[in-house]
Amino acid sequence: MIFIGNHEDWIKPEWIEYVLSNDGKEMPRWEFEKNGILEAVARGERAEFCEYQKQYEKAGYKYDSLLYYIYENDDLPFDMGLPPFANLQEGQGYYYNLFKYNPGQVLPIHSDNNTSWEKNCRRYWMPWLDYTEGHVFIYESQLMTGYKAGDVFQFPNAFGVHSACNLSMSPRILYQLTIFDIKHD
Amino acid sequence: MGLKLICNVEDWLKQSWIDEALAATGSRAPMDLFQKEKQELHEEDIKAKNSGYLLDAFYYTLIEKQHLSFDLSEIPGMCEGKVHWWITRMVPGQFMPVHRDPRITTKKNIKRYWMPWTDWECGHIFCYEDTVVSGYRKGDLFLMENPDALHGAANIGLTPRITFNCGVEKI
Repeated sequence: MIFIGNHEDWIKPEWIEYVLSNDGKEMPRWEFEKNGILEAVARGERAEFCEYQKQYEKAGYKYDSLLYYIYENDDLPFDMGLPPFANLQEGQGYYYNLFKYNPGQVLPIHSDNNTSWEKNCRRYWMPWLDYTEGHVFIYESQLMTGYKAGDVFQFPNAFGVHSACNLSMSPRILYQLTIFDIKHD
Repeated sequence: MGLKLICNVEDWLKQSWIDEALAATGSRAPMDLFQKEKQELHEEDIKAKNSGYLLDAFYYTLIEKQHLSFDLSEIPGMCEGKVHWWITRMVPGQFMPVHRDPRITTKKNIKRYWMPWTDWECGHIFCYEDTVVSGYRKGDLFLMENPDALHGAANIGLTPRITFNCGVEKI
């Protein structure tokens, strides 16, 4: 993971307070139901999901269990806008993911190959809380440790294998920003 | 003070033991430990409970001598003494919150060892203080230089994970 800088000033304390006090969408169940992923996979569509979904099922993960929370605009009473490190150029789009992992919640290993249509993709990872032992984020085989709230890191490869869990005694909040070219061949 | 690789004892490690540990019923931790076996709550358990972990949940399988057909008293690479050992098995999605081992580390002159019985795979997590161990092979024997260090584990991979844990008490 490539360290970009610290942008703690951008994160408002009330945002953190809100996310700590309110749960977002239950993942992965919400995503599966919203997108009809199981049905699509059964029909042989959404090939980008098939590989991991089949492996997950074989390993025993349940799509309808609660593994972590995700927040979208409709879950939040505030508008974050873009963080200062985003530096969006003309012709580029973006989306964000805001995650909360309560103690004991997990995100199994995966790569986001389902988004491989995103050209010139850059993905940034920003914890909203200081690192504590048991807050696990692993990119390839690198454990992120010792970071401070607001530290920003770039994925060396936006589609690299990563995973996360919270084995600690306190919640873990992460913001992830993905920037990509809207127009491409 | 970290996690120190001592040697690899794969030749000593019998495949039949691994197969037995994979299949053993064991105790569902922590639920069986407190409900069936009436284990006493330690400070670490209370801390976990207060953080939202459930004492009646099934987070991993604890396998001890009484669950297996074999005993392990002399393990190559380890110091001599009274051996306290246990095996943990985690299927994908299972975990063990960060903790210390008060039941072991309160003993005097204890050496604490950790040995994976399955090769490392992506998503097999063992956190020891600020490090995560990766790329290990089954039979790698590690010394926890600080036996009272905070550690935790998870399996967010795709295959089962088995580890052998041991405290050797110098008598």
